[in-house]
Amino acid sequence: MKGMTSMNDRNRNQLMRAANTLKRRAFLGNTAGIFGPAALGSLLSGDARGQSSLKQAMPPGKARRVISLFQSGGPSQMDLFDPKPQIEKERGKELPESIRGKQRITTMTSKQKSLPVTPAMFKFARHGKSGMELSELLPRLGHVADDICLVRSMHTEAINHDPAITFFQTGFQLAGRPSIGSWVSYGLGALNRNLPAYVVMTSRATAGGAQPLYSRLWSSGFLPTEHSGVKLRNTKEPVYFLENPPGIDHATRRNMLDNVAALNRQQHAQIGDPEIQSRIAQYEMAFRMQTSVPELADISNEPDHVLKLYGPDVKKPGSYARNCLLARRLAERDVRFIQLFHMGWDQHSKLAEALPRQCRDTDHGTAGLIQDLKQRGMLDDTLIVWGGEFGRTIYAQDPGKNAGRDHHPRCFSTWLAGAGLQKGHVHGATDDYCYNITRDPVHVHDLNATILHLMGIDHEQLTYKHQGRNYRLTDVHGRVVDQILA
Amino acid sequence: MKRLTCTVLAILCTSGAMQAEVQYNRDILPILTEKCLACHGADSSKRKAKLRLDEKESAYARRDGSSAIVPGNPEKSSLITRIFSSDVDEIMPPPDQKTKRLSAAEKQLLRQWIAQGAEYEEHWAFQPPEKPVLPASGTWGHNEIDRFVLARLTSNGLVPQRQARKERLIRRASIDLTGLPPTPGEVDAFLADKSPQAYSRLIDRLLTSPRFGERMAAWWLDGARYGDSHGYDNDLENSQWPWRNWVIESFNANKPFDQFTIEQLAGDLLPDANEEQVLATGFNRNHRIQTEGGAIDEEWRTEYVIDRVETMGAVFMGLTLSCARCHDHKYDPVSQKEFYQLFALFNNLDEKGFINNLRGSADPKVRYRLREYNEKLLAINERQHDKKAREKEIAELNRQHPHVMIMRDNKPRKAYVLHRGQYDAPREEVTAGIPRAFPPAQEGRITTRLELARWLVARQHPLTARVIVNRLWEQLFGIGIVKSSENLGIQSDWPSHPALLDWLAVQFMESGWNIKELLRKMMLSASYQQSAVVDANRLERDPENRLLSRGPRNRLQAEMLRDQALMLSGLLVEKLGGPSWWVYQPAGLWEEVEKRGSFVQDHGEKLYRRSLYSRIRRTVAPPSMRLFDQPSREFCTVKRTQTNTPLQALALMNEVTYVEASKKFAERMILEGKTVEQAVTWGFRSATSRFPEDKELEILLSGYRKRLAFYLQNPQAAEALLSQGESLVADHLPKGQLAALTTVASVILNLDEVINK
Repeated sequence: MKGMTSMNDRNRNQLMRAANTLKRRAFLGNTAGIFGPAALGSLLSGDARGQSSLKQAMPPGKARRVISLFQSGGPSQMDLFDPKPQIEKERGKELPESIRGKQRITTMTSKQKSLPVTPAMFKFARHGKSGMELSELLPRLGHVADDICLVRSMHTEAINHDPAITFFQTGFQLAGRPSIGSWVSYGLGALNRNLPAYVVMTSRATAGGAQPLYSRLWSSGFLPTEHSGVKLRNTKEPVYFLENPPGIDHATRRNMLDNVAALNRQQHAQIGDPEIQSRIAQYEMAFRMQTSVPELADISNEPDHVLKLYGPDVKKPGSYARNCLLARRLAERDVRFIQLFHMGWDQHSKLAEALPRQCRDTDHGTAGLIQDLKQRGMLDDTLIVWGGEFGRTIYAQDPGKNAGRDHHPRCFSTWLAGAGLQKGHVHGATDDYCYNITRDPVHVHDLNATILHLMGIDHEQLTYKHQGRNYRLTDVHGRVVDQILA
Repeated sequence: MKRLTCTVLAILCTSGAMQAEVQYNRDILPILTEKCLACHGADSSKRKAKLRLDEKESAYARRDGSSAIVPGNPEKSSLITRIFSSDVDEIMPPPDQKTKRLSAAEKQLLRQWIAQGAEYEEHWAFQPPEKPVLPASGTWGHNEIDRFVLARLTSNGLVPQRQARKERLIRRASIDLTGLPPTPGEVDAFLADKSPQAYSRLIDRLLTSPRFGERMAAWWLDGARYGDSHGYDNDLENSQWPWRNWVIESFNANKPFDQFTIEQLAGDLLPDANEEQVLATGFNRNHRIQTEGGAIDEEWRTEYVIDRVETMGAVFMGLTLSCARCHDHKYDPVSQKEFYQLFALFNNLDEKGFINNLRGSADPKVRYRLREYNEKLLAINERQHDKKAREKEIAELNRQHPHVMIMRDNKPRKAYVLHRGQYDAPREEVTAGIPRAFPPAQEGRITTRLELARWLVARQHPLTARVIVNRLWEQLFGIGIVKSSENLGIQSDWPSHPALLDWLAVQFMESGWNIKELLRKMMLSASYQQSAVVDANRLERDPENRLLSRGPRNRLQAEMLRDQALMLSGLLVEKLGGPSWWVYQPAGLWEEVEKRGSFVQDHGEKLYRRSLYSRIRRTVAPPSMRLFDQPSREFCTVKRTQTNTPLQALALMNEVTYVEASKKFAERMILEGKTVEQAVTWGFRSATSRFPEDKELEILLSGYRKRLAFYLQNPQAAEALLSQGESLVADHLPKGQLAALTTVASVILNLDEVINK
């Protein structure tokens, strides 16, 4: 370690760190520091939270906000989005080796004696001016077919739920990296001072018994935890610990907070630590959230004609349809990244019974959300993404009357709608067996790069240094899918 | 960002720093790693033009009539002509690499470095630490640490801050060493002790407290990714807590850190290994286990082996070995092949990769304290003849002595380089070994985990002692001497006090890896004892307190916040070790994510144990802990973030734990004070260790009076508030007063001073 004791005290690293600290301390407009608010202004770009890693101001994206409708379990693409009438003649025959190739399959079917081709169990019809073909299970989506952009050539890497859904959310199969919503919160900050930048809601399948979710799916990973998704719950307390305890009313809370603030100001006068001012600001935001969140979750003023768009389930708290309505309310309040997780798309058996039920739970709410945003003129600057972590196999698991389908990562369908996208457009294609992609593959990293692009973020520039390395959502991959952009 | 960088560099330029000597490690390497090494670095598969800029030989070599670097002659160095070029075909880094653009100041630094002679330096953290010469002692300071600190402060035109008041000191030290604040009685005793040794006696007392082991274990468990469930899918419970007992007991016994390391990585391989040494190896079995139907066994078994290598690398070496899973490490000298040579050392268990719906322990496992278990079992069978009663007793015994997952090698498995890190793409076969760039083991080749563990704690190992010293420093001072405490590799931050770090690391090894002595040394320094008061000058010149121009002031960690509230309220039940328990959590937490099982909360004493013993179901980690940055424990985390958010405010105001604590804290206040003034003063002092100033007391009292009026008019509100939590308050106390005091207690628990140390 020779030469290390004689350090130049204003070395470059030191000052870079100082700059970073200032950024952090600039949190919520608390601008105590060397440069003062003028220099910080360029960092904050008008946001309440200015902790962006983005190297330079980029032109604003087409999408002001994202609503991700994550369908957990793996929706069956050949039953919903990707019709294969030609395959009917192969019914019951073994999946040819030439199609399967060397693909690994899960241990749920790898020991099954036969892998019989099992064509779609439902009919398809054309919709709208675009003539997009969709399953009879999605009639309401058919009404808005001209507003969506369907990608039939998605592919991913994992074959089990946990790694696959973790991959979708974080760009990596193993736990520990930030989710896409956390990246957006970190990169762009919040638009609304009274609500978090990333909000998550979950809903269960009517049938129950679905694959569980994991709270890490909306976690900030190695990013500061303030970028974690805040779960909006369907209870009378929509955010953990939001409600004052029984016996403390609004006025009492205000009075207590005034005491806390007065004492904290005293402390700041003595100690001088800017973090104290930041704490005072956080307590004030907590107080505002106590009003803004219940107001958000209260749908009593929604007129009937709006509720009707989402279908009868909208009356049930915690339902997917209700969450879709809440997503619109969150979008109106400019929450940056709104994400719904709906469980129950994992039809390993009895697909013919289970899939219609699953679609009934979701079709109305999804289509209603698009219509509602559209009638408010919000579809132009809102990006909607609908899809699951992988697709399902053309061959049956448990062949016979209980037939279902196993996980299939090599091709599946996802659709997007809204800001900056083609409308009534179908992108990519798969082979007759709906097993391999034949045109325009879109990897998970590509989809995530495209989502960020639409938000005005270059996915290669949104980085965070952790353990000595610059990480990004798309790792070292991903390309924006230009063909689906308007 | 860009504009700010320019501002920073403008200041840097005008301050004359540019004329100072440029150092490779400090000034040049950060630029190279950020902008150049992705294509001209260690990863041979991505290297362009066969040029490496991080190796002298390659950078100086002549190719096509020129050299990238000609020492002393920037104009003849193609690196300089290329980076200053305006020809799009010439310019480096290539213009399409938008994030790699060099700033004007960076170009200048490169030019100056080459003009100076382009001297390369080895990465400091890969050289064995040597004890540096101590800086001259100044007029300030108590021990060697302060000499290093003072030297840097002085050269920055700063002076040390005065010593903190005794009340602040005892709070800081108690929280740092035990995770709990001092009681008013302890504060009184410390204030009354006027001898010069009062403070060192305090530190000694705290170091012998059994709470020390609990506080240190909470720290260690993050890196060891300890959790109480298997972490995938249905995520059912494991029974690894006896391993946690081992950690607590080891810290309390001040087990030398080298032994602590060896036993956790290879206790099973020690000659005549005892039960406890085998138990220690649970460290390497704390990883998650795949329990999702359909998973492929070998895929997940491979993940566990990789997890062990990564965790070993992060915890002991401060390196991100995981990068080398798929390709040669881009910055640090670890090739992909070497990664799998380490892999070979952790690859030999007779274990399964996938166990559907696993509950409890997976093989290999041992019964916790088998001998004791067998004796007790025998006793039950002899004493208890009633079949039902006997079964009940045995079930309880099995709970006290569960099976614990440990390391036990079977016959060695072959190991291969896995192409792109994939289990089903084996390539070249490899044998066990360590990366070549590090000093070899004394015994020569490393073929077992035991040899690996001994190598890690050998005197010549460049990393382990530095890594641990730095992380313990971070625990006390809030920020490491190397800020990136999780990484001491080539991409790490430059140390604020490099010589101090080495001095401490060598001292630590020479002391026999004595953790308590190390902490004592740090805490007896004047640097640690400084007041945390910060003024505009300090904030400007030392915004992050990296120069230590003041004492540390940091938010309490998640566990400490809850433990403090429990202690102040008198609810805390102190018992050392044992299983984990379910404390309060929001209703419906599991159902919302379709998690199997229904939550059955524990009651009574179990609700009030230290947070270290709260159960962690990894996929639905307790929200009140996560909000305060406790990791989910799904993977190794060696550095916690420190955040300050509105959701934290909501938790401290409204979570039942804190409301209940406020209520019981208020009850204690009433019992401790004859008047409201006395009661509030006692409460404030218990929480902060100091008496309130008149103005502060008046704020609290006026709030009390205002809310008392409310509760006297609304007795049902008082009743409702006082019924929060499962504990009861004394019946004879006036409800209105108690409710109003509860709100005062809550105000105190939410003060920034109480949230911080």
